Amino acid sequence: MLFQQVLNGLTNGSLYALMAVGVTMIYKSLGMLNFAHGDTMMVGTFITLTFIQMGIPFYIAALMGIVCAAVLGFLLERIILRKVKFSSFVNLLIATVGVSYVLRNTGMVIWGTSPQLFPSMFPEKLIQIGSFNITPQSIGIILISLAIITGLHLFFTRVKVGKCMQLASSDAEGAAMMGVNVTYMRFLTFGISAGLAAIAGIMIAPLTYARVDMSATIGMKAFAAAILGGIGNLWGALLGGVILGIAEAVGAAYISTAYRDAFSFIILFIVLFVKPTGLLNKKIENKL
Amino acid sequence: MAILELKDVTKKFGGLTAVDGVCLKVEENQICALIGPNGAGKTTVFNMITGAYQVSSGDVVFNGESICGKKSHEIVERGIARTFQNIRLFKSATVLENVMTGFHCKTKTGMINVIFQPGKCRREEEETRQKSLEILRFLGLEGVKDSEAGSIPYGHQRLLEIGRALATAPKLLLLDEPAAGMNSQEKKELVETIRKIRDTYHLAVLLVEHDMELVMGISENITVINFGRRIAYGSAEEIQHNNDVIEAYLGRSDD
Amino acid sequence: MANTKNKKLLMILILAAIIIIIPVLTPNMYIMQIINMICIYIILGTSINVLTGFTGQLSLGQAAFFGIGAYTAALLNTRAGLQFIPCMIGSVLLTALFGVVLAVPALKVKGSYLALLTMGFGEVVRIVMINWTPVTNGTAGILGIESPVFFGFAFDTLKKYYFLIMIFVIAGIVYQNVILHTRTGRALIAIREDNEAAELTGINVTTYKIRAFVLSAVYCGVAGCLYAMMIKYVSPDTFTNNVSSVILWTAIVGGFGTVLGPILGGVIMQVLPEALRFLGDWRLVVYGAILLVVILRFPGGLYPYIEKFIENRKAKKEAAGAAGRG
Repeated sequence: MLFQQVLNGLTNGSLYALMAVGVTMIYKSLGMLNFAHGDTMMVGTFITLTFIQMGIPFYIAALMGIVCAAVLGFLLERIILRKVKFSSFVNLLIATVGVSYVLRNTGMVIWGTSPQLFPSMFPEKLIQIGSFNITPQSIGIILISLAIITGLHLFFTRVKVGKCMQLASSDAEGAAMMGVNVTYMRFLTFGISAGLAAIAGIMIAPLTYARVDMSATIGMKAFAAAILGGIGNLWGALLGGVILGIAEAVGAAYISTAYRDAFSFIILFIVLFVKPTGLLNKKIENKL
Repeated sequence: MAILELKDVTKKFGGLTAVDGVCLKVEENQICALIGPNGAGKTTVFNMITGAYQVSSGDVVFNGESICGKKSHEIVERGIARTFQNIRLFKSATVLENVMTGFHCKTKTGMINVIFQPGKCRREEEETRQKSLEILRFLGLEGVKDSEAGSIPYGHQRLLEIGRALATAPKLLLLDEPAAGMNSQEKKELVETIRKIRDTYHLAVLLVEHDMELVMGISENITVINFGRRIAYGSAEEIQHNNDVIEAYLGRSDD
Repeated sequence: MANTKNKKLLMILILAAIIIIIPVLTPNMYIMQIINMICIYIILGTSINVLTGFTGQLSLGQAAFFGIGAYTAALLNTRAGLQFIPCMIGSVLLTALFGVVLAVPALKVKGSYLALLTMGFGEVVRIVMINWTPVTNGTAGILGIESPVFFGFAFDTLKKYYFLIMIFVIAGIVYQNVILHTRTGRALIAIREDNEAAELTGINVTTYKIRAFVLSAVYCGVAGCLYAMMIKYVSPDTFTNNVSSVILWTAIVGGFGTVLGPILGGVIMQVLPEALRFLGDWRLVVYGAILLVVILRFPGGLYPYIEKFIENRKAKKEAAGAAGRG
């Protein structure tokens, strides 16, 4: 029973991790959370669903959904970052909340508020090992998420463009002096982040149905996972996502299903209270 | 009687010892200086006196009472005020409001008695305003009292910070590099101002400063630290002839 | 001196006349409801203005306090049969308590983290509203709240209720203004401007941040109680994250940190969606888009711009007058 819950948690957790990676990337580059991240995921998911319903093969539809989400990410960067110089931090943050509001309401108009079935890319067979069940879906989700995060890590440490992105995020001035096109790198960061969100959405939707309001809860869990692990840190995002997913599944099974969504926030409160820098980041003493 | 006494104060950050067993004494109505090469730990000492950093070991005694472990605002209430190396005013408030904010711990108006005792609160408010104007007049800032604090000239901002500190009615005023960014004329005026403040408000001054001429000209007692340790203390003359001090300052140019 | 005093008195009289005449001139209940909602949102806007505008503490969870206030009043009224004033006191006390509850973890964080923390708080409160069925009646909400009655006079229509709300709106704005211009307000602004410098000026930053949260929560609690007793129904749908965003925008669009900003914001935020009804389903999308443009185009809110505009015109007029004379 417990093992089963842990496995379920691992599945959801790796999806939260995938979302959290995008959150972390933008945080590193902008120094703030992108509150429209969940909505970007929702839009990507529903565009994919629309294409599937039009009869386009799953993988092509998914690709189009991911590309559309990435374009949305680019647009977001244009809308918000163009104003960075003129706007205060609060306004910038509120602007992402505003984008989120617009996207969510647009989604409601186009796709309605009722949950919709979303086809899975994995076979629906149950694999029984001893007394517990694994679905190919769970295995697929965990493996894909892990592969993507590892791939990203390699991209950021080995590939030139990735290294430039890292540099532009952590030290924009220094990067610019070394001839890195910081604007373009930020552009890429937003695009990749949004694309990742869409991938996560496409894998989440078969588990929970595609719903326009999925953006709010999953978006917030992504933030929670990113902060829990230590923001700005890829492996932290993975760790945070997994811990959150497992805590949620175990909590739902042993304490209360109704309060399932509350668990992740309570964990978030505790983390913010005990160690606001997250699990994998070092504590910094405030200097005057 | 010493108003402030640091007894073997040590501050460790992780494995690094930033301040190592420093002793320091400031007498009442005295102008003292804390000097040392860059990174010697001067600002760290200030931060320990004002409660921004916890002391790792040793004791800080102010006015006969240990202030170790006290919160910064409690220390201010007891009579230590400070200014900052890089000016930290409440920028979008007016000059007058900045000084009035300094009267916080000497006044009582709260969120509830403002409803039930409006007359008393209004009187207190008026009194605060008059006293603040007095300080501004003293510092020669009355003319800019309604300007935004962030918009007045740099030299004025430095003075305003001192004004805000004076509003808390300190017995000891800590000045963190008060002459930074000033030209020689302004520095001369600053020396006069510091003396005038000491005489008018009857307080002791402890300053951290890089400008040796200013320090030697104004200080009655000087403490020199290097690498977190006290290497000398005494009058300006004694310090100028101290070999350790000369080495600490000139030693760097040898290599 | 006497002249300015007379002028002030005249202004107050004119304002009072306008306030009194509004419900008389209002043609129907639909518009009256909007006006009452504007008033409630002015209180909510003021709540976030105190917290974010003056103290610099961002909150995306104001709907939680609004909801706690509304549910407290609804429960005290329907279950315990209490009247308006005890309900209001209950709302105020409970929201104040939750203000402290949120303030304690909030002391440790700032910026994005604070925004997320408060948003999470709002979400948890809503989850509890939905799932704590024995008390909150779940998604069905609580029906059958009674109108306030004072000495046999019932505030049972929207027009009568308007005057009750107005008392709180005026008291709320006056109190905010008083606080702002005394010791407490200076301490809050000092915290917004520079946390550490405030502490080193003798301000107990911790308690003042908590006070700001409590004050802000209490404003929401008052608004919640007034809302519950006006609509006579509360449900979790009213207290979503969207509402938190709208509350935040009310203060931002009007002008953060200004006393009159929330009033302007309250009017815009409530009138705009109604004015956009002709757009059908798309109205909230356009509403959000307009607000986004306002935030990006007028970062300080609309009120400072209007103030500047009026000043400029005055200056021009004076210049023209001087030129005419010369």
